[in-house]
Amino acid sequence: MKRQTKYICLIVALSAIFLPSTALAWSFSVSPVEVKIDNLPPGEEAEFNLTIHNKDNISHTFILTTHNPEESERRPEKAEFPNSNWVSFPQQVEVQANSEAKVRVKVAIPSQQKWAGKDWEIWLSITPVEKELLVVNYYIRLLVSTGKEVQAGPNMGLIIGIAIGILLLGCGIYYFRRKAKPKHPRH
Amino acid sequence: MNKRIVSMALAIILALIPCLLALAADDSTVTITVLTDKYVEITLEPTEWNIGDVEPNTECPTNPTWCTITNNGNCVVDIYIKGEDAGWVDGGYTWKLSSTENNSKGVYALWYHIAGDKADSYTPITEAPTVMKHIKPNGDDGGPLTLIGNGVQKKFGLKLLTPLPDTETGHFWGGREMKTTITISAVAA
Repeated sequence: MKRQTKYICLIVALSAIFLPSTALAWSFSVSPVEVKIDNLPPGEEAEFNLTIHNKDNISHTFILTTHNPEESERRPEKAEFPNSNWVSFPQQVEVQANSEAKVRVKVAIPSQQKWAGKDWEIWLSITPVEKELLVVNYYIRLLVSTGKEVQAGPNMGLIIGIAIGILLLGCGIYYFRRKAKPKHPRH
Repeated sequence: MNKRIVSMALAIILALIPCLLALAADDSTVTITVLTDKYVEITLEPTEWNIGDVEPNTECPTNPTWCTITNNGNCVVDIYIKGEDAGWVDGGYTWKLSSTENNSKGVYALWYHIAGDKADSYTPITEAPTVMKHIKPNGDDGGPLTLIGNGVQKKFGLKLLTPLPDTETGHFWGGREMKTTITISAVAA
């Protein structure tokens, strides 16, 4: 009996407090809810804006990250985005009370043929820095379809074409000038 | 003279052919579709849960209708949930979040229950964001928790299972204030 009492006392002594921090009020929205980029050639970039609307009476800071959803959570026929580093944006954004902030998001696909003709999906996550027990987070769907052709910086075909054109023109001028010269000078 | 002009024209045409081909090939137009009139917004009420003192290996449930999620946006959203390790507010001591439904020394478990689902049906909360799912009265999968329009509300409750006692390694110390965060996410359905 004495031993049992000892054990109960021990359990009580081990008790901890599971307590969240002081409550914060959250009221913010994000627009758009989905962004679709079509025919983006590897080697090119595309940009768009996200708008975070802070509806609270105090300013808040929001953290932006990416999240790769499971196959069942993605839109049909969309594959996992290969590298989240191809999507760039500010890591944190402060939004003043009752204000909106625009966040520039850039998607840049490396210039490699293996990334041509693909359909991917990745989510952008927006959540407040300040946390309490329950915190709200929004995911924005980013759907990216790459073009069939790789955009290798400057248009090489155009440059080669101009070079050939100049060469041919040069040859033509040289040829006609030579032809125009009298073969036998007159005495 | 005529020959000259014809030859010159021919040279220019020849020169332009690759240029035109190159220009013709460069017909890729990137399109970005953004529906700016759609926005996502949800609210949670309440956002805190003061459990008070807890003992090791003890279940602590809230009311099944404890928290209300409201869709304040103008699109249909699916709701996701994820948990994380609980930490002592002064740092250095944590309870790891269980990846299963079981607790152990230094490991605690969390569940959610959607109001109106099968009584006492609880789904584990893990560190990976997972879509919240209904459980039908017969125990079958009732599909994702979806808020179909502005003003639509759903209620849910939580349940916590504290770690097993382990005085030797200090995995359950008394008088410590523990804190954790549960993230509720909304994504366009």
